[in-house]
Amino acid sequence: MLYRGTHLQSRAVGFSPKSMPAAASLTLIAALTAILLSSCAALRHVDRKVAPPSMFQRLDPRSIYLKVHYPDGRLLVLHDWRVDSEARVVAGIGALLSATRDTLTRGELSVPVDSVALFETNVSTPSPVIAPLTLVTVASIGLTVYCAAHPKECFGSCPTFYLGEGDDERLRAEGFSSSVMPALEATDIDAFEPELLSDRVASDRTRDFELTMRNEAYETHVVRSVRVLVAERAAGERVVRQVRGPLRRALPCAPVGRARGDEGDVTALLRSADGHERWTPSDSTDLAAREDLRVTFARPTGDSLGLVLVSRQSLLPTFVFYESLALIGSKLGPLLARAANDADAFQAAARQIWDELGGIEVWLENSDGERRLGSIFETGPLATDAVMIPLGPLPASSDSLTLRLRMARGAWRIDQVSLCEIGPVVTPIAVEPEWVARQRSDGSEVRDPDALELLRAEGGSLVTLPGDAYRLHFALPCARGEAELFLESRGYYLEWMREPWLADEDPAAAARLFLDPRGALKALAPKFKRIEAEQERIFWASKYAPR
Amino acid sequence: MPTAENSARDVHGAWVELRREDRFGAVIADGELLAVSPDSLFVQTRSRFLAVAVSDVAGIWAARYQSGATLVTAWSLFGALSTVTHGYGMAISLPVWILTGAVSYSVQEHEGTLYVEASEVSEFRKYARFPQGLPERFPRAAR
Repeated sequence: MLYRGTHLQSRAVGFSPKSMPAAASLTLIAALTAILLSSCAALRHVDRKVAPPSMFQRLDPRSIYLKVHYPDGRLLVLHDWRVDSEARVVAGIGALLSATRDTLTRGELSVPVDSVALFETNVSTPSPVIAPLTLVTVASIGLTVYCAAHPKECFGSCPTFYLGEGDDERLRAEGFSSSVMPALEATDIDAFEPELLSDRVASDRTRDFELTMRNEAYETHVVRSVRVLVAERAAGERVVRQVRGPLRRALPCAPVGRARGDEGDVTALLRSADGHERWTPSDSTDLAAREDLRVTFARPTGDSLGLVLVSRQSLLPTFVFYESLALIGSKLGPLLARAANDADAFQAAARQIWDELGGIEVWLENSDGERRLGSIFETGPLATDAVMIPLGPLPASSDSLTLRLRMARGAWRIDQVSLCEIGPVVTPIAVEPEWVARQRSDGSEVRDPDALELLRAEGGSLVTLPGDAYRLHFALPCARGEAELFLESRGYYLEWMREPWLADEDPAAAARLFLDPRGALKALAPKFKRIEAEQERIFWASKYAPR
Repeated sequence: MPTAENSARDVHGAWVELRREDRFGAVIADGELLAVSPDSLFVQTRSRFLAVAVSDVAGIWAARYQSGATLVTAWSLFGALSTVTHGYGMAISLPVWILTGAVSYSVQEHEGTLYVEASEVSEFRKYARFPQGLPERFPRAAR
């Protein structure tokens, strides 16, 4: 293995939002609070009014200073001033100045109203900008405190891959989301464009393809390889990934005719991959409680059909994962060491809780009953993916097909369900990156041939830390619009145990994860329900929400 | 220039710039606003006393007091920086800070310094040293 030790040691971890420690958060909170308090005193609006002598009884008492202008230009400036209505005199403590503003006298002074040319008051009030700035400050501090206490809800994990630049940058894939230790190292394949209809892409004639790989969480990413799989296709044709097996052509695809869940009709949500996903809140007593979603299609012609789901996990599995780490706490290191020595046994034990949560089971209903077709289990809450399940032999005579999708309530977001004719197997061309550029903390880029070599070399690994970002350039063998592209990434990542998590260490609860996973999920349900709404709000406000 | 609080007891008039043509036009004169009459503006420049016909002026830039806009900038900057602790939420909290900060800066900046059209200059007389009008015996020699 070629670990880039010097690469790791010589890199200064660039400034990254996600690497900010709790102490810095507290510093920012303290600074914001200090600015808020000092601004309340410093940011003022002054309302100046002048009044003739006849208005002396209606001078604004909120004015700390009263300025009295004489006809000859002299000025009397008073504080602790008062009006004697009977004597028609204004008095106070202050100074009398000449027209050229030389001080003539000081002390307890008074002036008959009849000698005055004009009164001047100045009432100071808080500036109108204080209210909105204070509102935003309080909300901001609240969010900072929340994220400091619940970092796992605020920050993502595993390598994230973006297409586009600047304001057009969009998250399109997550790499090896479930590979949380060396023993679970895996190759992950994600479709770049799960939308089954993309006219914009079809007309793209370029052969250059670039993506940005980021480490956006408190993790160490060990990236073995990143390749783009290029599956050439004819006009109007799509290539999809199957639950098991090679890539296949798929056409034509029919949108769902009718879809219904416990909440009612959701057909409109599932007809197109437009980012409007179908999702339901989790069960408050059992995170593994199931729900059914029935989808019906008009029976298309063709003997070989497959159900294509465009979906992603919700934040629920992520919560379960991070809660598990917190419950294991300081024992995580020894546990990972044991797991490295007996990966199969560890995987079997760890799989139990994920099996309880489960994927999206697909059942085909017919007059004889129902047949289980398989299960879709794509990890990661950030990027949607399109996966096909073949339907196999179909009932002989039926004008429509009804399938039941069974899943843990609240665990999945489904964007589109469609029925496609399965075409031939497609063998994609695997394209290695042509060059790699590392993004520096000041936003500039520098070509990194060492990183390129590590990603291309057999047994090589590019290790990234929080805040690291790389742009990968690929030269496609054909025009962009003539192919379906998939991201193939291989590696694993290591979570950094956060101090707040150690406070949650609970060996008994951790053991329950392995011995009684269903019971553990029931025990976690109340805690998740308390934060579920806030997690959803943060998610939909983030860049990871679909646009 | 006084702070907002101290402007309440400031004994001088606001500092003004008299502009020809429009708010970005040539500066006719700048100095302390002494008084405003229906047809004239009286200004004490650094070197002399000046009377300018209102008809010769498009408008005036007037600085009443320190706006504190710099503080608003610092507040907004720290606020924007704090969004790095918001994780996913930064995508909305940062633009909110930028927008709120920009608007607040503009509002606060206007607190201290504003442009007054010639037609509204008479309303501005309360910010002159002599809001009651220029005293008859006020020395008009060069100072």
